[in-house]
Amino acid sequence: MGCGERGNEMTEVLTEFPHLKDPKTGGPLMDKTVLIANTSNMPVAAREASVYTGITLAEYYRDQGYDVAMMADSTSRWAEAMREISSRLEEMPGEEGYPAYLAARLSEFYERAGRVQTKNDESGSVTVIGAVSPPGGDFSEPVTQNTLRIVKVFWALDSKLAQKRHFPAINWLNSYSLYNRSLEDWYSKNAGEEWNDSIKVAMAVLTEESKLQEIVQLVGSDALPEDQQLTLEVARMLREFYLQQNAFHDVDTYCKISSQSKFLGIILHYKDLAEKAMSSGVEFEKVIGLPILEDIGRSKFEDNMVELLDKYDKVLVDNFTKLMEEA
Amino acid sequence: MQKEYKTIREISGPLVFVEKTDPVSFGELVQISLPDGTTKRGQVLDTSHDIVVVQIFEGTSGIDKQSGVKFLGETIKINLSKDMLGRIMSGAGEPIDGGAPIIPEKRQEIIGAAINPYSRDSPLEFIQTGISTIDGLNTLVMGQKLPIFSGAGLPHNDISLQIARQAQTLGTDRDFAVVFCAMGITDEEAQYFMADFERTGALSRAAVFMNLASDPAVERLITPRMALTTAEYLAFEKGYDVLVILTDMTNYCEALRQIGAAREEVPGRRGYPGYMYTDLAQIYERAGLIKGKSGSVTQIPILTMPGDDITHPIPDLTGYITEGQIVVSRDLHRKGLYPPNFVLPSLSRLMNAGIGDEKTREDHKQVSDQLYAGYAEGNDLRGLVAIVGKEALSERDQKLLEFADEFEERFVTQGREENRTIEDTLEIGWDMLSKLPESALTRIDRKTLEKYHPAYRKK
Repeated sequence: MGCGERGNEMTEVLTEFPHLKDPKTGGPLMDKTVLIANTSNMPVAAREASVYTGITLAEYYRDQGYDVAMMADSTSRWAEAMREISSRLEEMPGEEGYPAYLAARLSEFYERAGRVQTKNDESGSVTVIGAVSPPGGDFSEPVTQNTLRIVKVFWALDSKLAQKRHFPAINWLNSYSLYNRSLEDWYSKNAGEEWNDSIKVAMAVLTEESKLQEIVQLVGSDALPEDQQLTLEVARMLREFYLQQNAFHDVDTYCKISSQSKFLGIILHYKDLAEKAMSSGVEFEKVIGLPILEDIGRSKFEDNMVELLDKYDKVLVDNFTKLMEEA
Repeated sequence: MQKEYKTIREISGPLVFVEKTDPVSFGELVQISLPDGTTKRGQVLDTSHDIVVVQIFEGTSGIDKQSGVKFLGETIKINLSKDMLGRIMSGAGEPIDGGAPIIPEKRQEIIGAAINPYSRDSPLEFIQTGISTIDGLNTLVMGQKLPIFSGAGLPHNDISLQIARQAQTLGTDRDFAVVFCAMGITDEEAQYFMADFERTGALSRAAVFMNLASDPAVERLITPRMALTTAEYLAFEKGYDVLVILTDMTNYCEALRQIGAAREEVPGRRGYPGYMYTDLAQIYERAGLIKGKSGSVTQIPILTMPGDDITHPIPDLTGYITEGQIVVSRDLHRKGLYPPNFVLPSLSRLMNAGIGDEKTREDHKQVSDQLYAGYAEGNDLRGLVAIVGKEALSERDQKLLEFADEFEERFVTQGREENRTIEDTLEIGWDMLSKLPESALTRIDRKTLEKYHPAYRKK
């Protein structure tokens, strides 16, 4: 659902979708897609209505037993349409000129997502992914705040990451999901036993990195003790190898959850090995200078990533055994 | 015979309130005859009550309650002709260059209809502006709207003129035209624009609309619509690829606010009307391509951010509608660089569609990503150097720091008359990248590196 979209972007979606293949069935993705095209120069009342058109269609399919995902881009445009109409109606403005019923409208909309039992005892669902575009990236504005109050998952896009060409530019520290715990069983079944623990370790490393970065900004990374420099290095690998994905690359654009788990595993395995090696006296430069690390990073561009990683994992262990022996 | 009403009840700012008329249509054109025999033109703004609100284009001074009001039964139209190329017109579409009147091939309403997204064609072709920071890193694509965010006292006028002179498409035999629309500019700027257009010969392929700062604000609201209607006519009926330069959109928005206040509307953010987003969208969305028509309309709106504040409603709402932005930086300008385009916050959302093999060059995307990454990192390091000094940096970091300086001196900086081809731009990029260690070139794959990296090409 494009609400107040740019005309050219809407066209891109309209022309590209019919060519996309459904990765599951191999058929055209368009066969199971409904696009609602509302551009910014269309009348403002149409913009307000477009969101309801979208969610109502989603519910219609849900009642037939489908699992429906609805992308609403962007709910900020929708809220602005409400604001515009409200001001034309000369209603009393609330925060930042938005009508006082903004929060109520937003929650009415998001609460239409959910899982239902249909009348013939099947189950159907509607999942809503709403895009919010806060003016000037300010998350304290009313649309963002009222949305955050209702939703349970938040992906924070970060313009600093985008400027560094880190894509997808999702900030790993600000984003959260409140479903992590309820999905733990699913993850250990589908992604592997170690997944839930790996995620915690990886998050700890990335959080540690952001703290260390503040110090690095002041004194430079060379002034840090070696174990902290290793943390920075592992965090860099997590960011550049694991978190970054190239949406235009045939292979890198989609990474299966099991492959992700493998990838994460090898980075954390390196961390363990490196820590062990350093505590038994291996020089820091040798630990971070292993040429195999580059290969690990590039493996995500290959079709046979899983086999490559298995191979690299063995090389990694061999390398470290050698380093330990030398030391 | 049209009725003439002598029922003006109130005159306020640019607005005239007329009592008890027969039904008139919204947006209808109005002619007002003053007692001294002169006439003024206006447009119906509101017909919802007993009183009709008319906004006057030439200003309301001299109008009194004895003046006669005639409703002309049509909305604002512009005379269109291919001969508008090479001409300079006022903000109301009348020639002001002393030349012959334009003989219309067609008269058309200036309010364009929203293009159905389904009948649009995707923007896919590269437009070369000859400016490295735009062509190389924030490529302009035919049919795109890519604004320049500038500030008071920055050389956006020079940049806009340079683009107007140099912009061209590669590898098509369609004609290229420029529609230059100036809103609320000073008389001096107008002289400068006209002189530059004539001196460089760029006028021969341009239609120039000039609304001066001293012209009434109401006229400023119709000037961009006049310009865009002309552009659409040239593009979709005459097959030109048209580049529309709109400067300065901030003046347009000020006029919008002024008229909104005169109409006693409820003000929105910072006093700008709540419908400013919709209004701007109606202007910006008139860029694009239409299936089955050969021409195209590309827009470069230029706006000055009040107080260099990118979160101000004007740049903010503009950024929502347009496909990216080029940011002009005061810091770079102070360093004496021209054009002071700051690439880090700049972005062209359609870039990927317009570059690559057969459009620009196959390595374009990777070179651009790498230049971006290198400059971003080098720029970050400057803050660090200020604290710890250059010596404390690792060798790699020192290289990156030098890279950032060189990037500004060689890649960003170019002459006002310097027209770089995309090949030149990419070559400068490679030359600078070759000074970085190869391990730092993570955004470039092996194949491209071996084909284009200067160190490999020599062998």
